[in-house]
Amino acid sequence: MTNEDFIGRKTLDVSELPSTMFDDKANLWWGNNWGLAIETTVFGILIALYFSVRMSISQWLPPRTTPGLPVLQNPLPDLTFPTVVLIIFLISLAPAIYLDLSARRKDIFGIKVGLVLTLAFNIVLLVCRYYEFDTLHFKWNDNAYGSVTWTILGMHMIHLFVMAAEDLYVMLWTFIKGVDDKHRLDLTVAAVYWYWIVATWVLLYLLVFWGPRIL
Amino acid sequence: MKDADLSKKQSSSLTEARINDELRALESTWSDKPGIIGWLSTTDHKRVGFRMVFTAFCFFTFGGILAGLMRLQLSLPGNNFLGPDMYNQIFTTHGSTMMFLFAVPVMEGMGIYFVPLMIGTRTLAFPRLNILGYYTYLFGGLLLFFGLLLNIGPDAGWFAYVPLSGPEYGIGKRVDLWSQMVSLTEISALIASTNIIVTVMKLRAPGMSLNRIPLFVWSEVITAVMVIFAMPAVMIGSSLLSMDRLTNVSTHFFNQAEGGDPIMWQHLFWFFGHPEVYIIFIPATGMVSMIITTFSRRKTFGYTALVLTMVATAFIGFGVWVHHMFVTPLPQLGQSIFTASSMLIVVPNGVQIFCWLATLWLGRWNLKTPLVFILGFFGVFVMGGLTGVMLASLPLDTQLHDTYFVVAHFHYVLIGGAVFPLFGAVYYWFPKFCGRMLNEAAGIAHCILFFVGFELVFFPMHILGLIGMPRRVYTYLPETGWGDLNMLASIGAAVMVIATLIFFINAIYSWFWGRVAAADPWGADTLEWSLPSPIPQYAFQYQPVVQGRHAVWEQTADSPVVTGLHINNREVVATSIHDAVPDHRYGVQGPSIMPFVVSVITGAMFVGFMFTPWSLPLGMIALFFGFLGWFWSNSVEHRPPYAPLEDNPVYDDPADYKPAEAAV
Amino acid sequence: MTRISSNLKAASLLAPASVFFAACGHGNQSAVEPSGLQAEHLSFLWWMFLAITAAVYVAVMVILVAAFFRTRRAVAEDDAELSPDPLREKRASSVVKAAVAVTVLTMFALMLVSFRTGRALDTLSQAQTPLEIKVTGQQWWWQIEYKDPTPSNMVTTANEIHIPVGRPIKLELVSHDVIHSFWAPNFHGKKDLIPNYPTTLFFRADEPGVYWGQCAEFCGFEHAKMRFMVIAEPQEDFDRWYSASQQPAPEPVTDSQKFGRDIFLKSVCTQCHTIQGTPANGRVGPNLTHVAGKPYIASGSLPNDRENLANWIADPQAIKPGIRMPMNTYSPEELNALVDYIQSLK
Repeated sequence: MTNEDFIGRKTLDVSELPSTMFDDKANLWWGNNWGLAIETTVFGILIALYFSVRMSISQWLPPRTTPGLPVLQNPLPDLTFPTVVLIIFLISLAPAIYLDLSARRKDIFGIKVGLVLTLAFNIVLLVCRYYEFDTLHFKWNDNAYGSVTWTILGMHMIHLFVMAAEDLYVMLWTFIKGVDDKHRLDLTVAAVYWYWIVATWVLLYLLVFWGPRIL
Repeated sequence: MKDADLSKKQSSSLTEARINDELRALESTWSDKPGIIGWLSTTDHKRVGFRMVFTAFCFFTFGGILAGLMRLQLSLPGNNFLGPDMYNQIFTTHGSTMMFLFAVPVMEGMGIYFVPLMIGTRTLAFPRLNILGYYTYLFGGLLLFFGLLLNIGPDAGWFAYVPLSGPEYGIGKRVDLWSQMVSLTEISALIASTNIIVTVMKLRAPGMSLNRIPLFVWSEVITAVMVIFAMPAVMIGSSLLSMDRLTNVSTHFFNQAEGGDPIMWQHLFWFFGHPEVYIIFIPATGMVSMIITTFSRRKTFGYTALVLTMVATAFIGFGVWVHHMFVTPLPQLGQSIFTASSMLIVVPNGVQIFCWLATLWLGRWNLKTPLVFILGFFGVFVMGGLTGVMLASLPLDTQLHDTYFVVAHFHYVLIGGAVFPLFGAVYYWFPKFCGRMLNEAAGIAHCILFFVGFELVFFPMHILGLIGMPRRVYTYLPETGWGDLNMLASIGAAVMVIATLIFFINAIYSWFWGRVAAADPWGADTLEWSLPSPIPQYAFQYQPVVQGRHAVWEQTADSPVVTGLHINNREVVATSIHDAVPDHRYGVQGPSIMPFVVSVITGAMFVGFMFTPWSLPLGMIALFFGFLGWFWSNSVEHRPPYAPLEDNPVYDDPADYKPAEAAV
Repeated sequence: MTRISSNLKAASLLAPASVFFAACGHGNQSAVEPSGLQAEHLSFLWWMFLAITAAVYVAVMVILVAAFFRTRRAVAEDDAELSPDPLREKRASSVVKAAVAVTVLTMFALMLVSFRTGRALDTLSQAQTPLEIKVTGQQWWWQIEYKDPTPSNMVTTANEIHIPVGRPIKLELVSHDVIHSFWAPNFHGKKDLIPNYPTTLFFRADEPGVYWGQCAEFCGFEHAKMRFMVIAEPQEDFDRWYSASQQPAPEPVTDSQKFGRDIFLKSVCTQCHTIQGTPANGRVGPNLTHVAGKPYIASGSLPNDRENLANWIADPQAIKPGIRMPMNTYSPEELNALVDYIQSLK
């Protein structure tokens, strides 16, 4: 169509429409969710891999025969520390929800507090995850079971790192440039990422730490 | 949502002066920066999409040359043109190039170029992510290309079965190169897919409800969803393989001595590998629907059926992968189920063929080159689909698997089912790319020669497979008697080369000196044809309000256009998912060099991972800064004299917030 | 025993096609020239599928060609038909639905035929006393071991499987390194040999002859030259071969042969090869006890004549690069004697 075609044409005027919308009306929210679909598929495959390894190893759990350490028959992963970590994960939902709601309510103070708290929990959990690897009693190169459990914990840890980075980005923007609508949307989307991280961890925790005990 | 509701806000305020003013602002808002920075930093989906298509065709040429070398070696028994090592590298690289670096990216590239245009918008949802996807693909491809040139190309097949590709038998870095290429190209595909899905969900022009979406756009969306669920399997597989192979890491995923399982590799690979071929084929079916509609001069027969069959194919396509593993010692009962599912998938495919035949039967043909290629598609693809039915039978597959029969089958379905429609689409869309037409006579010659050459190469392979020739052999004994058919195939390869050369010469000549094209030389129905040829960077001067399924055919002088977007920013209208009712104005960032920077870091990280696992944490640290730069850059603010987003103020106090607020 | 496929072939219009197949290749490594029960079943399945799918292809092409000729032509400027005649649309719709129904029924029928063949293939596994042979695939040759309750009666050979005609054969398939695939098309479909996944294959030869097979899963450098022969012979011939194979290697007669044996026993050859009756008992490479009687060496890729044998011993890497057998430096007299000795191992 050329200029002439447009002269006098009926128009649909959209100037009154807002420039940011939230949740399922927002492109960023959908983009984030499709990205999470990818990552959920990744964990789904790792879970299937865990079960496949389970079927390949006749004695479950395999004995720990790492040189330099005493032989351990049926070394179940520890339960206490990982359960404490799980509880911290569940508690961390609170600041994330607070951040989410503050962003929607345009509560500047709430946003800043929520950001700081979420990042703090994130860092604490990263440190916890570092120590959580030892509770498995196997190294990644001991056997296929060690390989798959370290990969599951490691992949989830990568998400903790990415979330921390995202948190930092939005925090820097909020504190330096202030809050605007587009970045309020970013905050709600980041909160969704955190909810997903916690939800997947609940499942993975059950698999890795309770699986050997129940199955 | 009735069209009447959309007309509530209509007024006739488009004067010539207003149109001219807005056009000037539009042109500068949507233009790229100049020079090499502009070229690297573009976020124009048309430029990125064209780059993907062009790069994919470069890799097609590379892969084709490799195929030519293979045919030279196999034309005579006991030939020593290529030794086993070189041959094994070449066939691995040929397969990997064609599948990862040509077939998927070219379909994505066409989607990236045309999907926004066909849905009546000016951009993808995430333009900077889009160009990141292109660079990631490019670097992955270059990695493979240089690997082969330096004689460290992968040599374990495009499917890299363990234990052959594992740490014990896959010596050197060859397979690691393959792994990283796979990771980079899969990232690229996942990025493109997320972009396409969100774009089609939210950025369709008003009035383009779900049942008015063009079939090519449907095909790209459905494919994108497949990518999201299929690609992770091969990414995980190749990462696990890399970890098994790295001496410092030495995991045991596929090491049977420590509880690993080589058959798991096959599951991981084929769970991706089978959907992969539908990822290649379904966009091609979109192209077939598109070309048949235009050149039969009538509405598509069976639109709803065609959409549903693509969905069905995508769905069932995830349930057939074990047919690649029929000769492994898996339990036979389980495997038999996959015979059933592999035959079931023929049904939606058949529905597509019948609907297309019906459209052709009931229409009036404009017999131009694009349609001629579609006729070639029928001749070749249908045969490939039928040999696929043979392979679906578990007992019959035990004779045919891993022989030249399979080579024939998949070339028939991939070349027939994807390359023929692709060529047709290139002839069709060429005027959109550059404003000139490809030469018709040369196009017909290309098609006929390509068809004849193809049949000469691949038909004999059915027979070769049945008389005992397995795949992936660098030579064969004269006593086998396979020499004659192999020689015939090699001669056919020469004919295919000639046909492709005709195409390239036609393309280069016509780009510069071809017949100048009108905006709509084919009388087509989709929205890209309402734009000038070549397409300006802003694409739509005013986004249309779509009136029907065949947008251009159903447009009238009364059809409204969208006004009221902020011309100083890159803004398009965002609409609701079902009925495409406008719900907000969506602004995107302009050009940025950050995707290029991030892709260089990503590429370096993956190359480093071939040598040490520390590349991953170091890479992530570098990426942190890369993405920080990306997030921080707000090119709208940095391009004076454009006004900042007026209705997106920064506020420290809720009281500052103005009435035009975001809808929470 | 009925030759199902030959009846079908003769009856079908595809008889010319089968002649065409026979004209390409020599039929002794062919899935469409079955020489045994299992391959017969599969060949029948092949011709059945070919007949039905060919009919479908022809039907689709006929419609396409008919459409080409009967539709009128148009140009780009012609208006597109957005409201076609509803009666024609409805008729076309019925035709499409009928075609879909036919497709579903055809697929179902093919699936049933396929399952029936699968069941038929299983009957041989019920055989009471099959001849049991263990096949070990390794890069890039086949070790063949005939199982026998008395271990000292077991015959070990390489790249050649002798079997009696008419008796069920049970192959135990194992791999020690990477994935291989055992495929003798005249007798059966292929089976993958995956390390630590031992599997079995039952087949039966019904026609005597010399047949070929080769590895059908890419296994590295010399995958292309990992061939084997299946020699199906009458029971008496097989028994004769079997008892001859159980004997240790014949003593060298001429001086040259004796000299050759000395060279053999002093060389690295003994690290990999076994010659029964001598101290050489390497298990890495093929058993050479009766190698002179075999028509091919190097895993079925090199005819076993004097010149080839000499070249092979001197520099196997030049013929089959990448294998584990190293080059061997001998003087011409030494090589000559060595070849004499090897050629005496009948």
